[in-house]
Amino acid sequence: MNSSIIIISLTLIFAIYLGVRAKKGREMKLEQWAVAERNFGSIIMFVLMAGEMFSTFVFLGASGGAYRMGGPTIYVFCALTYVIPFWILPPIWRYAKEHNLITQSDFFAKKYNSQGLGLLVAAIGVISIIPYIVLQLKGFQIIVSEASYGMIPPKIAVWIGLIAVTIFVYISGIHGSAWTAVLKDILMITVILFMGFYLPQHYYGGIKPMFEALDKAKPGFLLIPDKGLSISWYVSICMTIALGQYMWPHCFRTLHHSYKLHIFIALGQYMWPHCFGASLSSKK
Amino acid sequence: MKKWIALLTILPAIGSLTVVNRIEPYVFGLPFIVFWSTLWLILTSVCLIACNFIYDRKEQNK
Repeated sequence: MNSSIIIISLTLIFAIYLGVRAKKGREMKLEQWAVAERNFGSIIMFVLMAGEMFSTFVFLGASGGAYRMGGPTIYVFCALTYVIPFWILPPIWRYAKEHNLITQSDFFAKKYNSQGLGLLVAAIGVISIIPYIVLQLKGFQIIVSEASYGMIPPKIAVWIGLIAVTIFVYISGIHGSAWTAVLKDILMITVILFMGFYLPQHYYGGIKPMFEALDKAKPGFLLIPDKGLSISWYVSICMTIALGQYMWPHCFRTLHHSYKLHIFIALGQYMWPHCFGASLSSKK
Repeated sequence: MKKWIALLTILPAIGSLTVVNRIEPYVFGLPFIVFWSTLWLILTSVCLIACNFIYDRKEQNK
């Protein structure tokens, strides 16, 4: 037993406790379970979305991408994604509330009056979310096994994580996700701020000297190159992400929670170093 | 639709790269291109909040 195991266990227990406790005083009907009766306040909505979007990508994907690609990684800062809900969010939220819709496939089936389309959307959603979940779990097991200095084997880590999530999502639904997201967000911001300021300071004596050393070691690495991952690549990937983001079943579902959300999406952006999705649970 | 104004906020962010794709000058210790993209992240938020106050408040009250 070392201290990292104790910290990981305490965090896990606290997360499960928060997740399960979130159900307190609520009768779990489907609409409550899935979209909190469309009645989430702005702040919890914000936290939930941050929880859904800022995944292991922040620690593994974004930093790995920056290490490999250099300059072009700035696409993660592109805020086009957050401008799109300005048009699509209010009509979808209103329509979904009017017709009591919960999922993405519900929406398509009702709006286009076609059960077949709804089925297709559900099938595509499930199939395409599988690699996403696998990727998340893969990232999760790397993080946990590294954080415990290898004392928790990756396979065990992934099972513990999966069981914990299944328990509180099954019991508390979206409330469970939201409350554990609170814990996660606090931890993540702390770690990001700490690493972002402490590491450059410790190794290079500041952020600027770090970038200067980088530029000297690999000239041009911090810029967008003329070929390959060029400016036209950057513009097209920003547009693809902006338009594609709301096709994620979980982003789309969160869309139902809130109407005012886009402000919070916008607010949230500069707190986290990368993209952020949308979300159906806020008070109007 | 006046909301299309919101889209304008993004044009400088992705349209200006040919000019700002440079390292000097450093701002807040960041290379200029990194600073520029971060700056627009914040400015986009500000523009969206402004749009929300100017247009969306009215629509919600209808």
